[in-house]
Amino acid sequence: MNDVIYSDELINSYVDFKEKIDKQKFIFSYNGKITQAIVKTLLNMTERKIAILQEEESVKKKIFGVMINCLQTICAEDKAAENSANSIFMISKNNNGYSVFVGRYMPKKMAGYLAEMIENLNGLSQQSIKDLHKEKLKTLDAKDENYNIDETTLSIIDIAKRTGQKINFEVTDNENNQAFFSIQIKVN
Amino acid sequence: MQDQVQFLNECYHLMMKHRVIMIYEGKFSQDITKSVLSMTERSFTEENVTDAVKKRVYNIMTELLQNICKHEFKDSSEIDGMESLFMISSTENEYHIITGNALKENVIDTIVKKIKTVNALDAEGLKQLYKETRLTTTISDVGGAGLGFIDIARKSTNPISYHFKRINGDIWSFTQLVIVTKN
Repeated sequence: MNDVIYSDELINSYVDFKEKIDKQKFIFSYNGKITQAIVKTLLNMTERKIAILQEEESVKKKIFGVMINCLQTICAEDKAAENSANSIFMISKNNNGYSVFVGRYMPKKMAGYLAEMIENLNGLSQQSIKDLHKEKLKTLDAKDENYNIDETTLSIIDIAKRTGQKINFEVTDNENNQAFFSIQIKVN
Repeated sequence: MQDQVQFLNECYHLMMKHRVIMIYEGKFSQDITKSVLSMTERSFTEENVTDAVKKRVYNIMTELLQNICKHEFKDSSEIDGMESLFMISSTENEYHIITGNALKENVIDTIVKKIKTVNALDAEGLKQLYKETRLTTTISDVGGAGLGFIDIARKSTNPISYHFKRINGDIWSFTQLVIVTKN
């Protein structure tokens, strides 16, 4: 018997894709608009998955905190509405713990701002991050015209505070003044 | 480290290329199956298709996910840590529902034969086969009545695609693709 048996080329292209994602040990990946209903279902699904993996309560809490920050602010529907591209959310697990990936297209200016902010954040001590978090929390004003950026900034600081890990990011330039901004957060 | 972020971008582009809505990899409990179905239902609100099409996709998904639950290996060391998979993509005119799981070599011939049989039949032929199978078959140890592929083919109205790849010894990965036309 041959080691591969298949019916057509279309399924081959999906198997190639599957083998690529297998290497990263993805648990779950979603590509689309992030509505409140989707956020709820994603959290619910992660909770069920974590129950199967019999994870500690503290890890579960950290993952949930990171997910909520990522989904409700970075990928939030109202912000993504500036363009037609979807957000992507992925969660993977390997021997070193979990990784949460999120990415979406956004105006280049905002992506540049967030990249600079994360670079600065990665250079700070945990105490400085805590202080910065308190300060940002005090100054956040829903009526401010920069509220969306401030809220996203606060979310990223909160992620750094919760995980105690450096945040990896990448900005890929695209046409029409848009950039694909993605971050990876490790939780262990 | 940065490579993993680059990998996310690659994945994003691959998901966009295949228009993938959702991927789940891992164990399939009844709870996970419920969540996957609910996630698909919610993402459908963004899709401009009829309720009849949504219902067909939903029914096929239920059948495929239940099959994975029933036939999944209980001991993952037996299958070299290979995870089961569910993926759904939405192209311009079709939904592509993909599942993957491990199985033993001795069932491959039976599966290929069943798929080839249903792929060769038209709607009336499938209806007849469904009736005959329902009357003559008995319930298997894992709760299946052998109607799975016939039911899926009837709802999909497109040929079922399959892919088998040897993983280790007599353990193979089985991937199947079911297409539902949107109009």
